[in-house]
Amino acid sequence: MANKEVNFKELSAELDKLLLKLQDQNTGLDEAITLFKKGRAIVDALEKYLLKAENTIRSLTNEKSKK
Amino acid sequence: MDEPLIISVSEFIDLLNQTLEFAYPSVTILGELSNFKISNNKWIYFDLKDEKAKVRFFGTVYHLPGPLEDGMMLKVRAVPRVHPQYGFSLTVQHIALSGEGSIKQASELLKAQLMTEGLFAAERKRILPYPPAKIGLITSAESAAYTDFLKIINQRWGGLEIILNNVQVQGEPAIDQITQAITQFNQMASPPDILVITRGGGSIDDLQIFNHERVTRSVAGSRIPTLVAIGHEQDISLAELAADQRASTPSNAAELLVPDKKDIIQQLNMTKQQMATHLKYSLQMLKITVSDYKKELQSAIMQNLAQCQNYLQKQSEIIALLDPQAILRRGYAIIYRQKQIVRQISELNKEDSVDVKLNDGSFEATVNNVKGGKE
Repeated sequence: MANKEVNFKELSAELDKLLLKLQDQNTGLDEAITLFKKGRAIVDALEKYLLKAENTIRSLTNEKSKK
Repeated sequence: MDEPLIISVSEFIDLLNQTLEFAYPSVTILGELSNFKISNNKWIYFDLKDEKAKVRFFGTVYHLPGPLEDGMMLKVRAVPRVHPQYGFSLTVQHIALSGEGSIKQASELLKAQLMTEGLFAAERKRILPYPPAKIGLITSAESAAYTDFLKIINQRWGGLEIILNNVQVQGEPAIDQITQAITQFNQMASPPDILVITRGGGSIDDLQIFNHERVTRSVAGSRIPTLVAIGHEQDISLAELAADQRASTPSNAAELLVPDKKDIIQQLNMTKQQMATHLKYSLQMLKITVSDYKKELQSAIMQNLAQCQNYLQKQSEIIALLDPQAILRRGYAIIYRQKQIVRQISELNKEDSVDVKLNDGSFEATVNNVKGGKE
């Protein structure tokens, strides 16, 4: 995932699927823990993506106000 | 005594014409039009008259400044001559309308005629390119109209290619010059996006060329969209009516052609602000989405864990219920005979030794009697 360009939509879709599986009562605890870890990794990636996006927007709007 | 000169009628006419030609090679006469007739769509006949006299004129339709009606005041330049058959008349060289009333009347006649032909119809009007990249400008380079047009257009936009065709904008030569300029622009390999024909205000005489049939037809026939701006407000000229768009003044023409860059910059800034606001909002929404994901993940794993704990609890309870010690605590006992649990009475006989296990200890016992079982 680290090498791949983060795509918010794709990752969100993956997270949705993962959550469904995690919320399934037939999912065992071991599998649930694996899914949870993977889910947290995706959430971390999404948060980084948003932080980067926020910084980009901030720098663009600051540039505009300087001008 | 000298003999009187005797000449033939034809010789006399020739002599008279030579005398007239010498004395009046060309004469301009002002008078009221009467008995105006067009023959075979080619020849024109009319009289000019005043209170005391009238003279006959002959010419071709090509000399007409536009549709004419009896009663109009005309200035006609012509050559006087005596025709061998039809007598005295003046051969027309040029006809000009005279007086505001006649000019207006002629203009109205032409307007009605061109309107019937559909030259001013709204459906003929084309949308002007906005803003155009290349403008063909037809005006006088020495006029205030030219200066005003350039000043306003450069203030508002700039970077446009403006090709000037310097023409007279009043007087007879202007008619040819303007129509030729329109033709030249239309024949260019890379023609302009629009033609602007403009001049400032002036007297009705000055502006008369913009009511001329040739100029009007030339404007209407241009393949390049046209904008005609004549600096007057009271009467709209026929050239303006024939144009795709008209403007009230040269400055107004410049305003109509291009937007004001200040407005555009302001609009762009507003759009940028809207975009930034929209982006920030989207980002905020996504942050909430990610936060919700986090909560859902946490909730799902905790739920799974609770489910496992719940299962474990239930199993523990079942195990606890099945614990033999728990059963003994409720007052039950386990009987062993020869270290085997006795499950049926048939396994026991009188005098057997048995071990009885209770909740908190055991004791040995002997069977005194046996009841039940096989019965």
